[in-house]
Amino acid sequence: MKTCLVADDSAVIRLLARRLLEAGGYQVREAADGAEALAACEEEMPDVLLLDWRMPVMNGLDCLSRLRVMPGGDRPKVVFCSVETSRDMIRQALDAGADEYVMKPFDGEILTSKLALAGAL
Amino acid sequence: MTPRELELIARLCLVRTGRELDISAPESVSARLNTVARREGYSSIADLLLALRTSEAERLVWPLIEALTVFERTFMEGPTVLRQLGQRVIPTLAATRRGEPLRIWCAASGAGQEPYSLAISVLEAAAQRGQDLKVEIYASDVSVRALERARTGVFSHFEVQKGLSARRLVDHFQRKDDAWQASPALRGMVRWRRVNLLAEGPGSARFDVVLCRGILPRTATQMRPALVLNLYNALAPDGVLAVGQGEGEGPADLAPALNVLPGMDGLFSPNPDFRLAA
Repeated sequence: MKTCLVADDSAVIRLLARRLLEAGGYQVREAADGAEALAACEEEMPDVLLLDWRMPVMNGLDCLSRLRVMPGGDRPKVVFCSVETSRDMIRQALDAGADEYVMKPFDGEILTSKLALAGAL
Repeated sequence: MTPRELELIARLCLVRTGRELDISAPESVSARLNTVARREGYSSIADLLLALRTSEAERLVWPLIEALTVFERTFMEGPTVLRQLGQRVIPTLAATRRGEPLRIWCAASGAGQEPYSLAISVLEAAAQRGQDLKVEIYASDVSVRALERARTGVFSHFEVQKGLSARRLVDHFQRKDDAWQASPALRGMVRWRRVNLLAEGPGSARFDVVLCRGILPRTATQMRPALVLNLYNALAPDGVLAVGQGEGEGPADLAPALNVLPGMDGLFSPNPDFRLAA
């Protein structure tokens, strides 16, 4: 079973993502900020990291940069999931190593499409 | 809606467009007709259908048919067909045209996702090959409303996230208020025109590539020969027809007018013997 780590400071988004991902056959773990997400990745690298941008303690972009230099950190498909929807910010996330980008709000069809585009299905 | 009303509507769609209306879900038909009735100033579907028996009929019939036959497309749908066209068919044909632009007809363009996806595929293939691929994309649909929308190139936040990668989004689209708009370069590659595929081809012009995906399976079996003949007549002798994967392979669908292109999914070439016979 594929694993997905959902890193978002909103419990509502984490719950929504968990439901959609579990319906798609993923085993889901959660983190409330970037530092928690990195700690969870150190413990066990997920197949997919669904990563919010604006989070306390450590934001998504810093989390991604640090993840990519961790041992095995190049393996997870990283899908940003954010309310930030400017072209510049999406481009910045992709240039930093994100595989895909979901703009909030999203639904199951969008999440499935983006996971497929990221090569994570 | 009564079964008789449903039959009337289904018959109207069949005669005008050759499309088979799915009446197994009457509530879906009712929902679409309700939208048309409200938009056209009628208080109920029954009133709308009554008006079809008056001098208002010709004004109402196409908005009604359009609402019932429209189907949702997503960006980069059928990626294998798009990849084959962008990477193999279009560059090969372009090499034989000595700098003349290739003419491509998107025969059922809907809200525009398909022609814009094709334009993206061509631009990417040109960039990868370092080759200047000159194309003119002619997009048509039976729905005037869909064409009006498609021409603007504006798509919602939800539409651009289905099938379109984030990289393609930022490379080929720009923000427009809460939505996204295809770049001027993409919009400049596509011309738009209303065409009823059953009644007419695109005119006397011949096309190097014709895309007609999702239409054949929705067309009534007895209407398919007329549709296929129009598509065949629109193709240059060395042109290529692209249908959806798995479409057109039944013995009564595209054969004998078109032959499967060996090694390609969903691509067909005109049969020269059929041209002589026609």
